[in-house]
Amino acid sequence: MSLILFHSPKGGVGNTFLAAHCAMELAARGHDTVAIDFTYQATLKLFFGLLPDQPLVKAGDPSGDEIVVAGVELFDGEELGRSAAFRQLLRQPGAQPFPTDKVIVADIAAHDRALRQLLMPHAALHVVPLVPRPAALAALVHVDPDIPLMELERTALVLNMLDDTRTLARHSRVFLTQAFGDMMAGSVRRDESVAEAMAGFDSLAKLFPHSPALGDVAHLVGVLEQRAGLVAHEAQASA
Amino acid sequence: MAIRNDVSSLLDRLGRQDLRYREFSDPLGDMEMWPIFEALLQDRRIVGEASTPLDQRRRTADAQQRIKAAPPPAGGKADAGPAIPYSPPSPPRPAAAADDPQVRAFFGQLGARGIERDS
Repeated sequence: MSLILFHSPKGGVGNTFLAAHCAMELAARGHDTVAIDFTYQATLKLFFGLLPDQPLVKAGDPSGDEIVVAGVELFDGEELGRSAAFRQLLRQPGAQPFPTDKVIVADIAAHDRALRQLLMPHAALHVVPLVPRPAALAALVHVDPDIPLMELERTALVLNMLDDTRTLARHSRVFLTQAFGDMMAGSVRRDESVAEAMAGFDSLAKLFPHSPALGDVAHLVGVLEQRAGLVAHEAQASA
Repeated sequence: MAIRNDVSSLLDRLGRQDLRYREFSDPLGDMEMWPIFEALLQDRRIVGEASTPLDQRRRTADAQQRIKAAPPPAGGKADAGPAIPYSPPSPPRPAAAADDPQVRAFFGQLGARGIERDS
């Protein structure tokens, strides 16, 4: 199983940014990677340097030509995600619909916890982006409606937009790291070049290859690879 | 690489080619226990349901103790933990109920690229 969900109970925390750049980093590490944008905002493509009016291939539409950017095959999954048949399939006990020879990154909107719940049994990992702000921290109670956060086993917290010059941000990182232990997969620094690259409809890696956020994502993906079982621990440790 | 003018002039003044970002890592002892942190540690949706109020207090105390006792994070980065045990992958097996054309086409799309690469 190599489905990785990106879903946060709080919007505006950089969920799509992390999904996009983790997908690109996974592809750069040699994984056959697919990214599916299940949101109605359809902004995943912007992080790949595509234009807002540039349509992605709709998941489930066999007539579309494949779009592969930075080694990642991109799909618009918004319609599929709302499909009753798709949701019914995901509910079936024992169903294993996703191929195991690909890494599938799913970008899920904050409000769509129902889709997160349906995909979760099929996922190797659920990445929960956060920002060091009280509202995002308070939303941690909503990661899973049934299971307390500390008891979740396939969940990785990521502190995004971290600015270590801010007291609450520093304290939040220390708190999350110590309170949640290994569930905290890493942090990504606040980096204005992310927005600047998007505003120029270009990729962050091309415009700002030394972006600190990119470096942090690369480190983070090393951790996620292990958590999702994509690499042997020994192989990663020797890398 | 595009570089902003103000950054470029700063680098010139410093006689450097690039900037190194400083981590403002916070010693654990200096961490303030903000009420939002305490609220999270006392919320059953975070720490789970305890069988008795005393158990609940113990769980909260344990989590708080971990925070007090743990060493400061090294280098400001979360260490990579051990890999979660993971069962070997099994071949894709779309469920029989997936007769919907859109769903069938979607899983066909997911397999299509691999097929093309093999050919």
